[in-house]
This record gives sequence, C-alpha cells and structure tokens, in this order.
Amino acid sequence: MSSGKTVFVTVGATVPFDEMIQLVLATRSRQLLHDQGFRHLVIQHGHRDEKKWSNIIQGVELDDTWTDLVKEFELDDTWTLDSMAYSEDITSLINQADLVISHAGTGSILDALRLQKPLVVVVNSQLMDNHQLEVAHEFSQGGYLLYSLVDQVSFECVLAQVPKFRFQTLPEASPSIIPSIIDQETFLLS
Amino acid sequence: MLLLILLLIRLILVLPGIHPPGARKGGRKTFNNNRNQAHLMILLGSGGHTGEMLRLLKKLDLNKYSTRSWVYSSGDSISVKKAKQFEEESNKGDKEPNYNLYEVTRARKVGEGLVSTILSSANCLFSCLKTVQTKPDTIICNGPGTCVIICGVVFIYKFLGFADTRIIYVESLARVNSLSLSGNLLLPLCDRFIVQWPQLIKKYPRTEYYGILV
Repeated sequence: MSSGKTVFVTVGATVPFDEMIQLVLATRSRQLLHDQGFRHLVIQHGHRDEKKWSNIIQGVELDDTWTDLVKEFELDDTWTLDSMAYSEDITSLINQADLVISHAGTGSILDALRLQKPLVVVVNSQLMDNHQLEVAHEFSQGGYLLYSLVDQVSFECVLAQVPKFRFQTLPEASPSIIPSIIDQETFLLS
Repeated sequence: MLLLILLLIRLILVLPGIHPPGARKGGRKTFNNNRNQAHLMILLGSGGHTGEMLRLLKKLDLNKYSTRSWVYSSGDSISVKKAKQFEEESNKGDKEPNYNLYEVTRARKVGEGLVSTILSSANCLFSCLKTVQTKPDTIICNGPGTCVIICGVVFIYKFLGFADTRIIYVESLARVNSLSLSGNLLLPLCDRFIVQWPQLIKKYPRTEYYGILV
C-alpha cells in the first residue's frame, strides 16, 4: 500500500448499518479524513449478499444521495477502497488501521480498544432494545472513544476532534477473576 | 399447612437470593463422590453473548474440570465452532479433549404462531431437562432467554434435592444502568451474580463488581 493512513470501518458481525457507511462516504467526512492524512478506506459492511453491496457501491437501487456519494468517491482517485462482508480476522484489520470507525456494539468497541486504536463509534438508534447509546456514552466519559449519532453534522464534529483528542487506554481486564469465581464455587474454596 | 411450611423452609435453604454471595461455603452434598471430578457447564448464548463468554473464560484452565459441557442454541453453528476451538487450543493436541456439546432448542422463533410456540416451548424445556440431567457442579451463563429456562430447571432440581449446582451469571457489558430481563429473572436464583459497571452494584445489592471483565 502506498503512503497515507488507513481508516477501518466496521458494522460488526450481526447486521448491516448502511447509514454509518453513508456518513463516512459523505464528501465532507472524506475531506476531513483526507486533511488528517487518511488515504485508505477499508469497509466491513455486513452484506452477506455480495451483489447487494456491489449494487450499493455502484449506486444501483439506491436513492440519489448514495449514487452521488459513490460516484464522487470513485472519481476521487486520492483514495483506495477495500471492502468485505465479514472477516474472520477483524483483529488484523484493526491492527492495520490508524483509525477505527465502528458501530456501538460492545464486541466491536472492545476489539478496537484492546488494540489501542483511536475509535469513533456511531450509535445505531434504530435498533430495538438499544443500549448502545448508554455504552458509548459511558466509554466516552472515560475518554476511551468518541461517539456520534447517525447525523452528518454530529459525525463531522466528532471527526474534526480526532487529531487533537487524547484517547485513553482502557485498563486491561483481569482475566483471572471469572476463572477464580468458577473455582470458588466448584471446589468450594474460600 | 405443615407441607407449606416445610416447602417454605426448603425454599429459604435453597434460594441463593436470601443468602449473601459466597455464604454457603461448606456442607456441599457431593453428588460426584470423587472430588477430583468436577463438571463445569458453559452456556453459549449466541452472537455477542458467546463473544463475551469466551473473553471471560480466556484464562480458564479447562484441565481442572474433568467434564466440560458446552450448551448452545439450535442452529448456532458459530458457537459450536468457537467451543471446539477453545477446547483444542487449551489442550494443545495432547490427548482427546473430554467435553460434551449439548444443543438446546430455541424457545420461540420470531413470528411463530401460538400452537407452534407451545410445541417449541415444550421442545425447548425437554432439551433443557436433558442437559440439566447431567448435574453439573457449576453453570456459568450470561444470557439471553434460554439460560433462564436452564437455570430455572436447575433450581427445581436443587429444590427437590437432586442436584447442588452452583449458578454464576455475568451481566453483559452492554448493560450500564439496569439489568437485562434474563438478569432480573435470574438474580434471586444465582449463587454469584457479576456486573461490569459500578452503577449496577448500588442498585442491586447482591451483585459483585470487579471492573470490566471482557
């Protein structure tokens, strides 16, 4: 890969989240990322049906906004794009990235924070029984990540904060707690 | 009347919710006569639940437990794959790993009608009974719904004196300010109940907090 930083966009292992991808592809967002030295975009989009994704990226069956975005993106040869539906090895994709933009699922948040990558999460407010906002808010209180709603202005605001934001390192989870509780209960240790 | 009082006494003796966590230490009935034999049952709730469970157990020495049972919901091939992977990695191919896999039928699929819901619920209960029949020493779970049914069945076994299984529940990291439905239902039945955000220990006195564990 040529020079320039990489941004990895991930929707997680459960459902697609096109609204988030749309936020990232938007002209203003791209400009902001470009200004920060990003040149490579890697998207894990969650469309098991590859056709659906290629339709999206080619602007077929989509509203005008999408079509325009994608066309613009393709004309913009300062970027490279790589995409996949899912990945068995999210860890190495995150490792190669300089910034992770993710949905607010706890699994994805932890994957990025454990690898100590700057992280922006987008809260999917359309999910039922939604605790993503609470989780995102709680982590942002600790300075571990920045979060945005599905809203272009709020997303741009957050992207603009990325370079100067001091991302805190999440304390290591103590891996022996649960095993020792299981031992206590099983072998009746005190 | 006498029977009712006896049942109540039994309930008080058995119900973990009445005792502080870790209080019932000694005096465990040994259903497995050999103390070197321990049976651990791990419930994999699919999706994010399975993900969190495997992170929780990352440093668990499986060899301490002579029998391991992994329970998954029907159709959840990802959890099966991950359980096998976990077993193989911790065994490093030394010998044939000694573990069981149990499939539990889902209680209700989305959009199912009434009759088939009743049928599949019965089916679910039956598969849970079959699983619990193995009388594990300890069960660890973290939701969702199916683990409530399994733990409910375990509790009935305990009430009747058929088993002395300890139940450990770890609430999902996604729950910041309130417990999940499964968590709420299982709180009184669990011997240990671990949460991952400090707000929750203030609200639910029996819970334990040790920071983020996943």
